[in-house]
Amino acid sequence: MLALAHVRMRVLSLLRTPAYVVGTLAMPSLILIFLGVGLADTTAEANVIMASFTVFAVMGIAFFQFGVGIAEHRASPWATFERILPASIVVRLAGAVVPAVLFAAAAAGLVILVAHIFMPVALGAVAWLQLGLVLLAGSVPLSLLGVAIGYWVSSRAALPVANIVYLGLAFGGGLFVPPRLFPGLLDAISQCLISRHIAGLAWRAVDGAPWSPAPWLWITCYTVAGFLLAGWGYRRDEGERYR
Amino acid sequence: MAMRSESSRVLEPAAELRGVAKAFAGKAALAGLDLVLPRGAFLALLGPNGAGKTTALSLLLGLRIPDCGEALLLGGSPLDEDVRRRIGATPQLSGFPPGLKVREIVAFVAAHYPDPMPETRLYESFGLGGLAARQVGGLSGGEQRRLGAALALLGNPEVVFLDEPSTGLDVEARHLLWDTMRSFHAAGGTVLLTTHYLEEADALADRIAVIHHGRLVAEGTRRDVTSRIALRRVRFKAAAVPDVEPVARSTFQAGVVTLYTSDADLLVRRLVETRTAFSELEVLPAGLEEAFVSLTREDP
Repeated sequence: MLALAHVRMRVLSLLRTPAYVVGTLAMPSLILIFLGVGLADTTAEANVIMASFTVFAVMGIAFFQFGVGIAEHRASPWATFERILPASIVVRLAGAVVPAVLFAAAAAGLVILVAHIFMPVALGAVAWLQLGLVLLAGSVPLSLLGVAIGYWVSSRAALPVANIVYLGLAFGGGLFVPPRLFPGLLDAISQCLISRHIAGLAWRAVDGAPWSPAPWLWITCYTVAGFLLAGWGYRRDEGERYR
Repeated sequence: MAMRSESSRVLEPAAELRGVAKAFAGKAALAGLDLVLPRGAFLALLGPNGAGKTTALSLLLGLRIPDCGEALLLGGSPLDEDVRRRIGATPQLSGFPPGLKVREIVAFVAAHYPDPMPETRLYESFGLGGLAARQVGGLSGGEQRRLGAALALLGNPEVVFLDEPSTGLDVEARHLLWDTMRSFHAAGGTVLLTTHYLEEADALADRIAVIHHGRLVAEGTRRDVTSRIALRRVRFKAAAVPDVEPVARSTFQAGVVTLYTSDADLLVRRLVETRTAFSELEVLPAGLEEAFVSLTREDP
């Protein structure tokens, strides 16, 4: 099947890029080992830290695979050649999205594996399901923001920009340091960040606490904003170059 | 294959540009270009760098949309997937995803076509044997070019588009590529090749279209066009530009007359016959650029 050929091609070329494999797939697990593992004394703490790092892992894929990936793809002559090949938009989209889902699952899976080896984590089936749902839903606005970076930023600037946004959102969202330790201003900023709301839902999922509608509203708003930004960037770029 | 060329007269052209114009940032790349690539033809699109060759090609391949006019591929839209399944084109030099192996790229491209060429035959005809397991990033420039040409023919296309295929190729690789293109053409395939080398157009094509500043300045059989393009420079010192034929263009600077001519022997004989006073006569080859300029002046 043609879509499979596109997925295979993308996965292979990502796997053969060591900077990508280490920087995106393994980095969240490595940071978890160096920074997170020692902080977890209880199962509840361990669960929260694991949840934070799964969000961190998915976010990395969204910004690097979509953001940096698209920016680099835009600059590559191979992208022009691929456009000449007979493939539908569905096939091309599958070739971009399916590998991202696979890599996000792998990065988050590594985090979960590391968490189980080094920390006293324990989650019930419902909590796992809810965590999965949050990651899936959260990956939509994050990926759209990644796509927006990919189309708005040049291939040379994409890596630093993606890094700044990625680490900024991770820290600001309370993925490394719990937001209850934030000073007032930082907490106020944090309340507006997409990462904070995804993390909030993830923490509640692993705590077994009920979800409130507000974070879902934030996710929806960020999805719409990300979609508009990405669509605008796409039209501005591809529209210019292929018109 | 014979059937294909038999019926070519009733079929729509392999590719066609009808009065296309295309500007980038207000600067015209193509200004009302008409071009027909008949079925079974081997057409060289010849022009200096910046003439609009690549733009013309990108319109035919559906990579860009003309500002006005129409681009047709096999009678249909270049954006149509079914049309694209019947054509092939080369990627630009060194544009391959670096981590992938030759075999993986070939398999990926082959997956797009209903009846691709068997891999072993492909490697053989393009001198890629032994490279299948190599990563493309490690290939030499010539090997990458050959892979590019192989990808263009991989899908057993009816029409092939080659953009400056021999730039950066060594002599041996160029002749291998030329032989492959000749046999593709001999088997009934249609080829459009862009080049800024007259020798390449002359060696391969049966028709040549010359474009300059986004316009078609000459089009015809290879013999016809090369005779108009292969100009010589006749240079000498004289008081003024003499009135002799055949001269495509002349310049006069600091007492030196330069005449661009398609027949230097005849011109020199005429100079003698008309008793023109000249000294320090030289006959030199003229660059393509000069030929293009004279062609543009001939029929604007």
